[in-house]
Amino acid sequence: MGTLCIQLRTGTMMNMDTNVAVKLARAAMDKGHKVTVFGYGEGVFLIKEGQDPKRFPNVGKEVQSMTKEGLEVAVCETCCNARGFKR
Amino acid sequence: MRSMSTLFILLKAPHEYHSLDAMAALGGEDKIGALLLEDATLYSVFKDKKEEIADVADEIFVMGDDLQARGFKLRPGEGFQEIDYPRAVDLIMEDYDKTITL
Repeated sequence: MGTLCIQLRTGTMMNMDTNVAVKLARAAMDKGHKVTVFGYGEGVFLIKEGQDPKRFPNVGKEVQSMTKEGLEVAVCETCCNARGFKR
Repeated sequence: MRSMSTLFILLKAPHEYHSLDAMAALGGEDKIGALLLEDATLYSVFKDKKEEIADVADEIFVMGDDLQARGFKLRPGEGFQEIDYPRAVDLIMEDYDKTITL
């Protein structure tokens, strides 16, 4: 099995890119691959706690649950600081 | 003889790409695959866009869910393969040597 690394550069509610990344990650994990997601720029919003979207899938919640199954998530700390939130 | 293969992931609508020259240039002599997700699935809908991507890519894969979400279906025999997420993982992890998102 291999390792799939996905670099995420868009926010969770800008478009459906994050949703696609999560679906790919889920499918890869189901096949036994190791998956790492790296959030950069607006992509750091993936780990923001307390997201409550009304018209988009709650990918933050989904990712949080997937980390318990082995998904690794890393984000750019400088990008987090620039957006005013801490891990 | 081709020694490498490159899979390009396209996410944006066809009109958002000025051209697919980058795909041809980065792919070079490699076998080129195109994986169409989100609005890029519309490449499989419009005649001129179908021809444009078929000129560059050797294989073209369309995410079925994303195409159906936009109210379209693939017509058989036009060189586009409808796939799901598990198949997309196989393309990225096994079938192609490298993956580039445009």
